[in-house]
Amino acid sequence: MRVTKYTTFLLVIVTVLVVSSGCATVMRDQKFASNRKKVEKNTPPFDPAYFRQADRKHLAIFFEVKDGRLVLSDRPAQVRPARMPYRSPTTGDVVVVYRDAGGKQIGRYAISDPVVARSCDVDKGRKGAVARLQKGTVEILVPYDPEISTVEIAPKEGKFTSFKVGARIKSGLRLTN
Amino acid sequence: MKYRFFPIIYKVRKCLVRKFILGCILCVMLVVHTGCVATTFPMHDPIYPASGENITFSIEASSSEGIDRVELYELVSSINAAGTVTTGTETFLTQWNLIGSPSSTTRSYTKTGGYSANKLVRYRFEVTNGAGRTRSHDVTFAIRPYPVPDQPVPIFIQGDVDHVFDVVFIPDADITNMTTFRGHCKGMIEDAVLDEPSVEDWCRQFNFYINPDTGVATDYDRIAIDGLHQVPANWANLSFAEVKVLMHQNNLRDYASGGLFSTEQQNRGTMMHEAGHAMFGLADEYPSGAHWQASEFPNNWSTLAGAQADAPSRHKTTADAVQMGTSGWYKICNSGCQMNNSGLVPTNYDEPCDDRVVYAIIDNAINP
Repeated sequence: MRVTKYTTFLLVIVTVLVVSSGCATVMRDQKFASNRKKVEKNTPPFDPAYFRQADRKHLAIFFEVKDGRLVLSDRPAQVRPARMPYRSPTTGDVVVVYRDAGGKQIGRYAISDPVVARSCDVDKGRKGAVARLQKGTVEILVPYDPEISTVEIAPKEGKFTSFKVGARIKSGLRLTN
Repeated sequence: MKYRFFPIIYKVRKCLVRKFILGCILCVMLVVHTGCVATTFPMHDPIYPASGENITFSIEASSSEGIDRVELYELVSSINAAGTVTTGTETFLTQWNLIGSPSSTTRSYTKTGGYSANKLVRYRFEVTNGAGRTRSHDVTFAIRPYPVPDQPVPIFIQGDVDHVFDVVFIPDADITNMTTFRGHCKGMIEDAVLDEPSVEDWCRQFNFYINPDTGVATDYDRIAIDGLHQVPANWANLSFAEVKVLMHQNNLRDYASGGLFSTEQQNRGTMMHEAGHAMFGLADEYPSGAHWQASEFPNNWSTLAGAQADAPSRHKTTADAVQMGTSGWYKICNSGCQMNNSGLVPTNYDEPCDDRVVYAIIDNAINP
């Protein structure tokens, strides 16, 4: 084939495309392989005795819903087996903050609003719907930490409501021990 | 002389073919040497076998370096009513030597007569690829009946509880055929959660359980009359799980509340939509849903400008940013995204949601 400036141009373009797409594939593969390696390395194997391990537990603190508002229940906190489930601090529409008696923040996370029932059953021509509960019981999970004294709950970017939960936690621990 | 106006092109032309071939070879070599050892997807059937029941172990494996060999091992442990485990010794079951190193393979092995009661079985596939690199993938499950009272039964366990997403299938009191229910649990694992393209590459980061106690799902339109979902008696023992799904038989308008969601047992789409909320913190992508903007990899934005600004870094264009009805919230995923859909058939997460899925899987494993 006679090489002209047009075929040369074409070859340059093809080369650039092949190399750039190859590089993109390589980078994507590299990133995925490295992330998966990191994740799997950080994930220990399942321990069949996990649920019997005394150091793995968390607390449930109970609230009553009265007229759509949260009120701290008289029930003692409940000690539950295993660590609390994964809670991202970066998503959800309600933020939970827990502090020690000195007001120091121990931790925080975000969850879906616990005072609503949310229907995403959007097949069969239905629409999604969110209803605020007027009554009922809500539980808020915190790590197993006797130092937790207050729990603050707020809509994201809203005003926090603070609940003194120290006594509920102490009575819950007494029941367990 | 025809190249006198293009001296650079003239030089490029001289060695272009050679560079082109070398470049291609380099790309192929890089892909081969930096990719994963293999992708593995093990399964067992039935998912929660009775003592003495035949069990088939299977694996789908693929590798860009080809698959040379697959080996299968088992480790049988005893578990008593107190949950005390006496660990057995791993033994070799079988192996397949593959001729021609195919890029993918599916292999299965049936254990005739299965296992006796009060056993936890761990099976492990070891896959050796064409470059001699190995990947090991193990799954643990219990034999029915499970002796530990009030504990969710491990049916497909792959990693430490604190570092993976834990999903508990709760049978509704209206389930009339538990064999069918268990079949749907297996379907939820292999045809929904682990079949989702964003999730399947990370399939080792999920554990699944069946709850021994039942709950009662209510209809969203009848909450004022029937109350909220009734949780199972052992609810406190399920608290660790990111996903608690109440699977029922009757046709209801399903909803989520208090960390529990309901679905008809065959509805894989509802499972994946609600799992998007419960595991990955994804918001709804339809009007009148629940909306929020996550600070890392959101799938909802509170402003159009925010959605447009993020779109190019999230596999989309500014033109993809649209308001969800008149909600005042914006999205960039397409209408087929799972967070815009629920029901019988799963539809997969669109790429912006995929970013959030991967972020949450990594965050859960690294910062449990």
